[in-house]
Amino acid sequence: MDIENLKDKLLKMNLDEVSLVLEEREKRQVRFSNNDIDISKAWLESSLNVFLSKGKKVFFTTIKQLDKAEELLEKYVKMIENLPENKDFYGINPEKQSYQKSKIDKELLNLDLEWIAREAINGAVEKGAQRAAGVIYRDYVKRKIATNYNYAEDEMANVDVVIRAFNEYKNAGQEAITTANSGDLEDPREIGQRAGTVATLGDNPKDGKEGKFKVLFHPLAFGSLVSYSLNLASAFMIDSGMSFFADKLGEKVFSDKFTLYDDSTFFGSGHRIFDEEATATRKTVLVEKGVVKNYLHSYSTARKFNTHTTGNAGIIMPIPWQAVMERGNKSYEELLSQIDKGLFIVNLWYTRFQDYRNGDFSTIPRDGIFYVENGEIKESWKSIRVSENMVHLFSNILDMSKERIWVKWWDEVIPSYLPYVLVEDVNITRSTL
Amino acid sequence: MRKILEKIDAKYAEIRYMKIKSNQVVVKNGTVSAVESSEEGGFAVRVINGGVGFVSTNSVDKVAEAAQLAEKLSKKRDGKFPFSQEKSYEDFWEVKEKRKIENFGTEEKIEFLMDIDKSLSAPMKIQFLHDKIIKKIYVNSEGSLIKARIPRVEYYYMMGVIENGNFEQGYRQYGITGGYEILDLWNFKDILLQEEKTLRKVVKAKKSPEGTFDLVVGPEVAGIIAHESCGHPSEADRIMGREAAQAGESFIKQSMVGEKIGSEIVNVVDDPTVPGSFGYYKYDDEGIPAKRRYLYKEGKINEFLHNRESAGRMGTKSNGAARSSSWNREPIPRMSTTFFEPRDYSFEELIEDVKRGIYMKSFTEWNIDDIRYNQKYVGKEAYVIENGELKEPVKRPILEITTPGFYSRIDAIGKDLEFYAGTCGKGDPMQGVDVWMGGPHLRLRNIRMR
Repeated sequence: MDIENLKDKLLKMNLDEVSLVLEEREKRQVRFSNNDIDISKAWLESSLNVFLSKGKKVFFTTIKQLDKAEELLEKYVKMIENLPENKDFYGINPEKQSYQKSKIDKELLNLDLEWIAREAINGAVEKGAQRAAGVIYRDYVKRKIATNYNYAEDEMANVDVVIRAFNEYKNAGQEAITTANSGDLEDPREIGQRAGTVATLGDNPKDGKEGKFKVLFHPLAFGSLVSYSLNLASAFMIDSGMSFFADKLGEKVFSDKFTLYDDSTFFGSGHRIFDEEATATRKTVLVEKGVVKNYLHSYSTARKFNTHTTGNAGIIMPIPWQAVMERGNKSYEELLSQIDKGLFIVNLWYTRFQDYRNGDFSTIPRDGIFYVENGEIKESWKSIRVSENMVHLFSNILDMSKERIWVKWWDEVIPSYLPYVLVEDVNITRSTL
Repeated sequence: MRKILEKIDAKYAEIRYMKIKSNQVVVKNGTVSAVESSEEGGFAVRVINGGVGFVSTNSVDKVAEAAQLAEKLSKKRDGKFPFSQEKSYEDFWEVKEKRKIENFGTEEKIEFLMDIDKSLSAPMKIQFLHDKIIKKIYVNSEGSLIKARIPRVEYYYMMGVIENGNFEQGYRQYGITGGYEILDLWNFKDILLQEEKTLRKVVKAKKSPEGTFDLVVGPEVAGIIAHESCGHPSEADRIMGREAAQAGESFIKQSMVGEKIGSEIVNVVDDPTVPGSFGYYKYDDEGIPAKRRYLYKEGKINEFLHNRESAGRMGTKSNGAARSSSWNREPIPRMSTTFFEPRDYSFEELIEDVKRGIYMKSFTEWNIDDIRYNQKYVGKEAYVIENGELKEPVKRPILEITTPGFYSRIDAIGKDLEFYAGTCGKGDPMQGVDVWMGGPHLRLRNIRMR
């Protein structure tokens, strides 16, 4: 499909601005459980993301029947006449953009995903796991964008490896890594071994205790907290008022150890060179040494907030691409040694907010919950909950590891490059009946 | 589709076609933030041999290629893969809208949402109005051919109020299988005005007291509990560990059918045949007729939710719970409408002998662990009960409890029954499916509350 030609046709239909994003995708997936492959999947898909505007009247759609694209677009162009004005719309980015060079590791396309699954399973079993479940994903996408003002093409591939290993007590360890580099997948057995090691270490867990603890969060666990937070840093959510970042711009509200970016220029699974209105993506500092520095913007939200776009335009609202957190100087072991009485938590899930505005939430640890005493893992726990406030938790960050890991997972963890994070005074609760 | 199916070398194969035509309007704080409209359609081919191959495409030209690839992928594993063998059916079913989706135009939708927006003084409010018409064709190698047309409409809102620096939020989803008669079933303007009133009352309320109380929960809370701690752990694929690395497993084992989980007055049902329900279907996405299922019956674990794969592995037949959220997703065991069966108490009777209690009418934050055993529900609208009477509102009472802990403390069940809509998430890639959940008021004794 020639999207430049299509864009020009649309502009002749009395529209002011058009953005067309054509995505051609080949995805593969292998899912496994109980040490065996359950299903091998493939998707052969293409789609066209469409944005149309006339004055302040705007319309969005995704067309997945490309053979009917022109017919559907004619219908949508007629619809726009009757729409009300969106007073928050200030146009799409008119500035000529200069893009990073597209980057792809095509070796990823030759990988045998079933082999990776079997190797990872074998690795987990070698380290004592009784059974393992997981998924291997490969996404290969060619993306083209045409707007009134810019044209660009991008090509990207990445692979996710998720493995959850269980010991004889049904206690689990999990690895959920993502990469755009085939070199990271030379030894998938080792990924399984890491999950198996945590599962074995987990042994027969005891019921956890309530209280305030110093907690070392694995990058996967912290990825969950960071991913939810980045979504709330979207200017759309700030504008709605439903965010604990709202009205905090320029204020120091978190620990001065905490520096967080949205950075799709960093070569990882969330790498991309343009957003949905063809703005070149960039590294955006969201929090710097505890100070809220920016929100995530499209051109329109940036105009409303009297600032510059951050290259995060999504279909309806600005969205994060890839989380990157500043690291510290100490190793994971050194951070663990700083815990007199506390916890090491590998993963979190089911994060829910009772108060988006102030950040009150709870979330459930899983895949490795360890009670630590005098810097050493003493026992394995189960059945606890982190019942916290996001501002309080980020304010109590004590330190980060020098190691960082690429993580991404099914339960709302976007591609993230994060260290281990040590936090004090974390509130732990549990069921009482 | 049948011609392509005939060429596949398989123990079992199926092709599903799905077309979804949808529209959405979003209004945020007095502004129409988005008007979206889309049409999409595609095919999914699933082939069973030594393993399972699944390929989907949204290009008609690539269906034969997809079938070949699915066959190839199904042979990447060499073993037995017992899908349950089922009867074949040929049928067409549809749900007719009383107020047709096509007749409710974009301008009317905008006018409807803006009218509600203007009536509210809450500083934070977002509304979504979404409709879709789904057309499906299903064929399999056992001879089934099922066609369907399913219209659905849903309405969702989020609202927040601030008073003296304190914040309270509310959000809720309503949905039906049908058309814009949804506007005759619920008066959303009244509901949101009432919600604002509630939030303004709660934001000024004192924190709910800690201690041991009798607890009465409303239908909305009963619904989420039925969904989370009965429906999900009864999904057979979780019980077998197939979802272990994603949505998790279950505290229920295959051998636990008949074991006590709660009070003997408790029945929890999952029923895709409830007329108008958001998750309504006549046949599931594997061509099996829908039916009512008692998941917990008389306080005991009774039945699991099956697709062909889980039924085959457990040596039984499917009970028609296979659902697929879209043309590019595999059918897996899912809920439809999950609810506590009502009994015979009026609300007044439920609270009349409560000396010291909490009434949790609705909820905000909630979560549950990945085996569906430890859960938490935070009340949104809640009141103290004293000597059989509702007293002052209280802020955010917290219930943290295990599944048997909750179900075993139920000592009385109301005769009312209400349903709420939800989008249930499961599967990898994620599949959000439309469901209802609900129940009557429930009373529990001696519950630790925070």
